[in-house]
Amino acid sequence: MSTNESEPLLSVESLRTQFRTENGTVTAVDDVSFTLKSGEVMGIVGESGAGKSVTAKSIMRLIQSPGEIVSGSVMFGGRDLTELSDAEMREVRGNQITLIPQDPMTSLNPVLTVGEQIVETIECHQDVNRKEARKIAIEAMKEVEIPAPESRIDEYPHEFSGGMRQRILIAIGLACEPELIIADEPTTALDVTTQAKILELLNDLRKDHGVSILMITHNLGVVAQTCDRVGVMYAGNLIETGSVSAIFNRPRHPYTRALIDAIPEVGSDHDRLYALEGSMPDLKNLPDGCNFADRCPHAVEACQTGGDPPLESPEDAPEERLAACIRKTELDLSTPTIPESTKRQKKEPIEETLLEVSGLKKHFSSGNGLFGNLSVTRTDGGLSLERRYVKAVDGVDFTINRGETVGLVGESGCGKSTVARTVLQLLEPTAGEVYFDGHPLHSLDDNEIRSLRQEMQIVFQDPKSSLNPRKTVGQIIGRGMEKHDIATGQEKRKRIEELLERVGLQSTDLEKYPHQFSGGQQQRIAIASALAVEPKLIVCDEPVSALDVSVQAQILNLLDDIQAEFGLSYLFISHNISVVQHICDRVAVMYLGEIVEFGTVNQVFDPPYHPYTESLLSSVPHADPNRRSNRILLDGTVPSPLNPPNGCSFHTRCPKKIGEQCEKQVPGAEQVGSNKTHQIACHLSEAEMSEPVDHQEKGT
Amino acid sequence: MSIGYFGLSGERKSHYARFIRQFRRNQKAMIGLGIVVSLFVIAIVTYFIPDIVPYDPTATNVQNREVGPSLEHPMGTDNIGRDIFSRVVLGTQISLYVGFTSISAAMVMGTTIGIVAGYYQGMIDESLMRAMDAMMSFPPILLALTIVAVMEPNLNNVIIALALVYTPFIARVARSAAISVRNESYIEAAIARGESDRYIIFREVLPNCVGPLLVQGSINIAFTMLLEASLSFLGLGVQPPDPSWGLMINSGWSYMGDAPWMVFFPALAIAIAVIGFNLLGDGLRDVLDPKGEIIE
Repeated sequence: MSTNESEPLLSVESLRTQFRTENGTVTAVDDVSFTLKSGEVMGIVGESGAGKSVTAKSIMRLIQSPGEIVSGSVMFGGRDLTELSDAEMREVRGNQITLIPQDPMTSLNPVLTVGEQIVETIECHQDVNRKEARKIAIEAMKEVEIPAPESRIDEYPHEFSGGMRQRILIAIGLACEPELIIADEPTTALDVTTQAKILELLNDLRKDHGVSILMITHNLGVVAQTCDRVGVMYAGNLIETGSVSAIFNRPRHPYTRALIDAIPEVGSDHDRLYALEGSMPDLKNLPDGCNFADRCPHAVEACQTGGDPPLESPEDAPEERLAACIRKTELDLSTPTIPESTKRQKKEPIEETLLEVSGLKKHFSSGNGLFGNLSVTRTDGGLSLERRYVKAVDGVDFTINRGETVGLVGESGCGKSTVARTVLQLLEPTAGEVYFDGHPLHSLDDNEIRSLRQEMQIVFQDPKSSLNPRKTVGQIIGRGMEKHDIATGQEKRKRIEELLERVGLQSTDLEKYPHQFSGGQQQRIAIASALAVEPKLIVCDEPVSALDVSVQAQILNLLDDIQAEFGLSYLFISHNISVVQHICDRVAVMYLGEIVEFGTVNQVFDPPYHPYTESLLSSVPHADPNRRSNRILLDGTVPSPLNPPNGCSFHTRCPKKIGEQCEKQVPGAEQVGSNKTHQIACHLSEAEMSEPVDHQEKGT
Repeated sequence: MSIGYFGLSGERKSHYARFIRQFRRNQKAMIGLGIVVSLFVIAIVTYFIPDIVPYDPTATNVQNREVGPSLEHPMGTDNIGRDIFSRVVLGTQISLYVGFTSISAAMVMGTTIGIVAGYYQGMIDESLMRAMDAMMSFPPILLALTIVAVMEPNLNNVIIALALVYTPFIARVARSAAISVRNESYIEAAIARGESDRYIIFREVLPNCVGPLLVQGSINIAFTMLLEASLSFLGLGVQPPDPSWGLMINSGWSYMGDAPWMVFFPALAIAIAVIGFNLLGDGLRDVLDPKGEIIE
C-alpha cells in the first residue's frame, strides 16, 4: 500500500463512539474529525474523560462492549477501517498501525522473554522464519537504543527498568515498520529523566523512519516539545486544532488558554495559578449550548443555547486552523489570563523550627520472612552469611519552619515517600532523630505518638484510595474531631460544614459517599479531613500527581490559601519539579535515599547546581514550543538501593564526574558560598557546578 | 455491618437501589433467592404450625409401609409406614437450622482470624494461617466425623463440628480481602489519625470485606447442609426419629431396590437446597464484584 504525498495518511470523519451504561448512553467521542499527514506528529490533548483514548481506540477498532462506534469513518491508506472485517482489521493492527500503551509495567507479558514478544508480532505479520524474525527483533531493539540487544533479547520483562520496557514496547510497535504509531500517554508512567529520553527517541525515530505519530497525552509540555500539530479535546469534542506554535501563541478557544495557564511553569514567578472553576460536564447530560460555556470566563448569552458550536476556521486565520467557539475571531487570547489576586503575598519567613530531622535512616530487609534477607556471599575467607537491606533512606537531614513549605523532589524509588512515612512514624526509622515541635518522636512510645498525631497529618496521592468507600464524607471528616476531642454533636456538624465550604465543596455534601465525587473533589475531602484535627504540619505525598492540570491548579491554590489562613507547614513530596517550584519555599532534591541539594527555591533552581538537579531541571518538557532546553540525558538507570555505589551515589551517571574522588569519597553537604541556607553534596567546586554541561548535542 | 446502616440517608438509598436493580437483573441470583426464600418459608411455617403437614412424621403404620407415591402419600411411605412428604417438609427446619447456625459461627470465627491475620501480616499471619491450613488439610467429612465422634453425637455437636470445619475456608477469604484493603491509603490515613488497631480492624477494614464474605458464606451453607446429611447418614448427626434429609437417605438405603422413593425425595430436597444457595452465592458474587460494573 502506498500513500500519495498530498493525501492524508489518516482521515477521521465525524467519528462517534458511544458506551451504553445502565444510566443512559454516554457519547465518549462526539463527531470528531481530523486528518494526519504522512510523517506528521499530531498531539491530542485534554483532561481525563475528554475522549482522547477512546478516539485512539476507535481508530484501531479496539472498542469493546458496551462501547460501539456508532457512525463516522476512519480512512487509512484508502480504506475505511470501520468497514473492514475482523480478519482484515487484525492485518492492519500491529502491522500498519501500532499502539504504544501507557503503562509499560503491565503491558508486557511477564512469563515470556521480551524477544519472544517482539518475534511474535513479526511472525504474525511478515512472512519470515523464526531466525530472520529474531534478527529483525534485534534490529528493532538496536533502533530503540537498548544496550546489548543480542544478549538482552532473551531476558524477561522484570529484568528491565520502566523506561527500558517502554522502549521494548516501542520496538514491538516498530518491528513491522508501521505507517502510523498511536502513542497513548507513552511517558505518563515514567520519571521525568526517563521521559526526556523516550521523547528524544520518538523524535529520532520519526526523523529516521518518517513514521506518523498520533500522540495522546494530557501533558502540554510533551505536546509542545514533540508535535507538529495539536488537537484539543473537551467533553468528547475536538474543540481546537492547529499547529503547535499557533495554538500556544494564540489559542482560539478559551479552554485551550485555560489549560495552558493552569500549568506551573519552571522559571516563572511565584504567581498564583490560573484555575478553571468547576469540572467537565456529565457526558450523559450535556448542556444545551457550548459544552464549555458554564466554565468559560468569556461566555456570553449566545453561548448558552444553540448547541455545541461547530469546529470552524476563524475568519482571520489560515484554513487548517480550527476552533469550536462562537467568539473565536473576536477574542484575543494570546496573553495569559492573570488571576485577580496576582502575586502571592511573600510570606514573612518565621525562623522557628517546627520539624527537625537529622541522620534519618530507614532500611528494609530485602526478601520476606525470617531468613529472607540472608544471603550467601563469597569472601576471601570462604562463604559468609550476610543480611541484606534495601537502603531506602540513608541519612537525611532537614528542617521545616513554622508556616513554611519544604519540598522533596526526586524520581520514583529515591525514598521520598519513605522519608514522609518515617517522619510521621508510620514506619519505624532504623536510625536518626526526629523532633516535632520539641517532642523527640523517635523515642516516644505508641500512646504518646498517637496523641501527637493530631498535630501532623498526611494527604495521599490517590484520593480515591484515601477515603473509606463505606463512610460518608461527614463520617470521614468528623472521625478525627471525635478522636481527638475537638468537637462532637452539633458543634462537630457545624465545623464539618464550614470545612467543606472552606475547601470549595458544599455543606450539603456531608451525607454523600466518596464515589459520588470526582478525583479533584475527593482530594478536597482528603484535605478537609486532614484540616479537621487542626494540625501544625501536613505531609502532602504527591497530592496532585493523580489529577488533571486544571484540577491540579485548583488544589495547589487551595493548599496555598489554607497555609496563609491557618499558618500550617507543609512537607510537599512530588516528582513534578514545576509543581514543587511553584508551591515550595525550600526544596530538597533526593537521589538514592540521600539529599543531594537543599536550599530555597531560587537557590536550588539557579546555578550553581548539583549535577543531578541540573539534569532533572533540563528534562522537564516546557509547555512552550519556543523554549527548548538542552536536555541532559543521564546514562543508565538509578542503581539498586540494595547495593548503592561507593562514594558519591550519583557518580555512575554523573555527566560532570571528576574521577576517582567521586567513586571513593562520599561528598558531605557543604554550604554554597555565603548562603547559609543552601547546601550541596558534591565534590565539584562552585564554579564547576555553575557551568553548563557539555551537551551531547541533542534537542535543538 | 454497623447499626448506622439502617438509618438510611437519601444517598444510601440510591446506593441500595442500584444494588437491588443489578440483583434483579441477575437471573441466577433471582432463582437462588426464590429457592432460599421458599425453604425459609417452609421451615418457619412448619416450626410454628407443625400440624400443617398431612401426617404425623413419627407415626408408624406398618400396614401401610413402602407404599409408592400416590395422591394420598405424594412421596410414598417408608419401611415403617411414615409419610415421606411430611418428613421431607419437616426436615427443612433441621437442615436450615444446622446450615445457618454453623455457618454464622464459622463466619464470626473465620472473619476475625482472617482479618487479624491479613491486617497484621508477618508472624501473626503465618501462625494463624498455618493452623488454618492444618485444619484444611483434613477432608471436611473426616474432620467433622472425628469431632462429633469425640463428643456426643447430637445436633448441637454437629453444629459445632461443622462450624470448626468451615472456619478455615472463611478465614482464607477474609484474609485475602483484608490484605487488599490494608494496602488502601485510608488505612494509613487512619493510623496517621491515631486510631487504635481495634478500631481500624473492625470499623475500617471489616466493612470493606463484607462482599466476598457474604458470597463465601452463602455458598458454604450449601456444603454444610450436605455434610450434615452425610453425618446423619453415617449415624453421627441428627438422631432418629427426628426427620433429617440425610438420615432419611440413610434409612432408605437398604430398600433402594423395593422403594427407591425413600431415597429419591430427600435427596432431591438436598439437591434443590444446595443449588439454591449456590445460585444465590454466585449471583451475589456477580453483583458485588466491582469489576463487573460498567465504569462511567
